[in-house]
Amino acid sequence: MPVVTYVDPDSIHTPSSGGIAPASWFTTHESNFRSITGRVACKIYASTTQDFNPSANSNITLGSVDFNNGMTTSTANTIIVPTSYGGKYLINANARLLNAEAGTWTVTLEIRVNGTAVLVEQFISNSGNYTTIACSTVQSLAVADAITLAITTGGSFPSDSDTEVTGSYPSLSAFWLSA
Amino acid sequence: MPFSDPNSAQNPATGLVAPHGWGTNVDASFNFLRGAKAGCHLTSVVGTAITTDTVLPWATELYDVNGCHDNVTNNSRITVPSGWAGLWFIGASIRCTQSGTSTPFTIKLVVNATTTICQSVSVGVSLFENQHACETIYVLAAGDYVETWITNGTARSTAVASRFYAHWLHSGV
Repeated sequence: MPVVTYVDPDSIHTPSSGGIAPASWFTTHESNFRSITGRVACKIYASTTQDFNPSANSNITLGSVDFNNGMTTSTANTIIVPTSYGGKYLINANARLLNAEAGTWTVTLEIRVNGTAVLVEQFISNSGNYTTIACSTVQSLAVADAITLAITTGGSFPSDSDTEVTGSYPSLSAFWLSA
Repeated sequence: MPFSDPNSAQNPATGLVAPHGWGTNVDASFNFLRGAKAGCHLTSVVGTAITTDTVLPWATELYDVNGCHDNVTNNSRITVPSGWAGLWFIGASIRCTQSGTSTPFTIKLVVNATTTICQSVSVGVSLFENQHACETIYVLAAGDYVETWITNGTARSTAVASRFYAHWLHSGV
């Protein structure tokens, strides 16, 4: 579905009171409403397992696209806010840890913006194998902001741990709510 | 009110010409749909002691559209502003220090200090430092307020990276 950018109908034509508006004026109204009914949104997910060694601090590779309405570019593993769609976004992410046996360790799932800045995170400690970790939020984002998903670990995190690839995780999704 | 029925300006009969004011009204309603909505995103007060049914304060706003929150007065609350009744998305993510004792730990979203609309209970991992999340969609009236309540049997305190947020979704249900 193409991303529709708002156009002021009066920039097409400003009919005087009692005058007749051209079809293009009404077409612009109709086009504007398509930007509401077809909002920008995107979900990307992983298709390969990834190792997470102790003290790892790295982005998760999310090379597959579940759905995308105008938010991904050629930049892999990244969701980018398109032109005209700065505003409030509902953002969600999740992952499941494999071979993360119980011990003294911590894992943080981070939704990041523009590099290493953390928008929201979910922190767990001393859990066990198959632990699922998820976080979501409503955030204010600007045009061209780039969202990524990362995992950081601490303590005696098992060296053979991976993010498990099954079902819909790991994944990162975003949905435009309003300006 | 944000929405105004275009036909209240004029209701053109089929085949007749709609006035400019009719189209302008349509455009205004569209811009309400697309425009900023009531909502806010708050960050934690680090070090707040948590015992039983602690109502958390929130003294920092990442943003606040239409005055849903005050950093000082009743700062535990996200309040629905006048004109923004309807369906809301509400969530919180609370991070707490470790207690050293395994007791159940519960985070709740509570409306008007009486109604629990969402809760998340942790048992096995509650003695360690952890983050607990709780989210829901709920119908709220103007003036309703939502708070984050924590129930915990052992003394702990809030840590960094706690969040509380809400966003208006739509008016009719």
